[in-house]
Amino acid sequence: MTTNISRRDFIRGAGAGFALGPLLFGVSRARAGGGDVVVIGGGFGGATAAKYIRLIDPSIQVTLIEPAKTYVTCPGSNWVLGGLRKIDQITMTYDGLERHGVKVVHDMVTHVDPDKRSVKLKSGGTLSYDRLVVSPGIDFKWGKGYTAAVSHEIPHAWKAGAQTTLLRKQLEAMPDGGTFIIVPPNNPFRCPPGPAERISMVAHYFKKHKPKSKIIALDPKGKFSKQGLFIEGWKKLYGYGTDASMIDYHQNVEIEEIDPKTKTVVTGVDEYKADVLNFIPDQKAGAIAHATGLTGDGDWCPIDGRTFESTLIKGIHVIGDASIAKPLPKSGYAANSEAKVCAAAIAALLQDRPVPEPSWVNTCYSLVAPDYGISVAMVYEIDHATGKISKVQGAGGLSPADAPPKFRRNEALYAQSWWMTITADTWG
Amino acid sequence: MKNHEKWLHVAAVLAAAYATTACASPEAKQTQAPAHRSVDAPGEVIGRTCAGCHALSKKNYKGFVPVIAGMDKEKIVQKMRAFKAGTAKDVTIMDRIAKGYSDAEIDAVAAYYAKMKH
Repeated sequence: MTTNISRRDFIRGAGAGFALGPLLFGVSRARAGGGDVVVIGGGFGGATAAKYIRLIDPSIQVTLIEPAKTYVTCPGSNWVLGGLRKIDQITMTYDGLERHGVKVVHDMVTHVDPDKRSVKLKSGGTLSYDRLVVSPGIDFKWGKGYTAAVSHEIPHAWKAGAQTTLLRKQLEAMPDGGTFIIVPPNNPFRCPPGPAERISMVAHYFKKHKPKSKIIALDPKGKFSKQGLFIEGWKKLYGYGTDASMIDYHQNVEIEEIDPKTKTVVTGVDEYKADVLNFIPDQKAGAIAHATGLTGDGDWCPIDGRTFESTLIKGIHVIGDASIAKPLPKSGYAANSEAKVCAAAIAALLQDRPVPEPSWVNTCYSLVAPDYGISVAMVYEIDHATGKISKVQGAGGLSPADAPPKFRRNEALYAQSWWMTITADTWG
Repeated sequence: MKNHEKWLHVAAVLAAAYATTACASPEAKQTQAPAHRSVDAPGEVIGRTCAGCHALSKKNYKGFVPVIAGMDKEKIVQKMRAFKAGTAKDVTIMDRIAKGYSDAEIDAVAAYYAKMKH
């Protein structure tokens, strides 16, 4: 008998309620009950998948592997920048998942072996699986003078947590009359309306505390999510389109590079110097997806929409931002909805039963101000002619333009309710 | 079996016992289901998509979105039909969402939530 786990690791593992039987004795795909599922990543996708697999079939053993002890939600992180929330109010723990019988292991997967159906952990252990769920979120494409090292000075704040806190501190330290520059990424990226909500929240903060300050957006794209609704709100609240506008939004900007020392953005036609610079790089699936070969030649992971199983590697399901699930957006609600479909599919597959007909929803709220909310929603189904995920005809869409203030206030209240419920549904 | 292997074996048995105890919490016991529990009960797959906005319990809930778990089935059906037809008052988002479902799907989801304890 051989083992690659040290006694110290073992004790640590046992303390965490780690199922060590298969690990120590090398029993491949041992089925004490309904099978073994390993989930990589404890964000909206991974946490929901882990919880719902247990809810659907408690005989399935679920182990979730996530390096961090807490998770700071990207939804709501712009509200921290606007001063509406403190970072600890959008920080989740994994206790709720453990109450559902999910084994949460704070470690990192360094290698996936799809043939042996096992994952290797940074601490040295190995876990076998019948089905693997990969929900690693996004990684950044560094370049144009913006690197991982530079991000410690010039935050992207597109993974919530320390980056959010850093950007908030910089905004707080900026004198009145300063310039905040935001550079949104190219498509596709996490949270399509996120940059415009961030502009709104910073505008709200400036209006209240630093009214002489300016916001300049340098967007490489020609349009952005909820554009009409955001611009309507900016006109009403922040003087958009007038000489006194707080926000100056440039589209189709060719971003050449940034100079981190002077916080200058060099574009095809001009140079813009910031007091506070927020550069959001272009994005790709999280590192483990690439290392495992789940992305093929691209940046994201192709999947079968019925199960979210990779079309490249059998037995591995990819959910959330890392997957190609369009027309579903890369959003927290979509990741949660995908995870539930994936959980039901995995439970069915492990029982050798037909996979149920999937159904998805995305609801997405943005705050233009604390009492001014806007939304977009959509219902999705499988198009049986193509086998692809598609929007249900006639459903969904944006909240109406020129809605009365009461409507906007209600959407702002619902936005905050949305955060409470989606986080409880995911981690609670 | 060498000594340290024996130790590991004993420890593994203990760990397994620990894991079993951990899983047998009251919450886990309540959700204990037969080995072949249906994963595609009518309304379940669609019903799960609502739970991102509609809390499944009134306990500790401080939000503004109605809790539909345990609500009367007919009430849910009538509401959803009004949302879908565009006749509901004070609606913000459910008119857009309700248009995504057939009457049979609405019935199934309503039955799923009506049965749910909250």
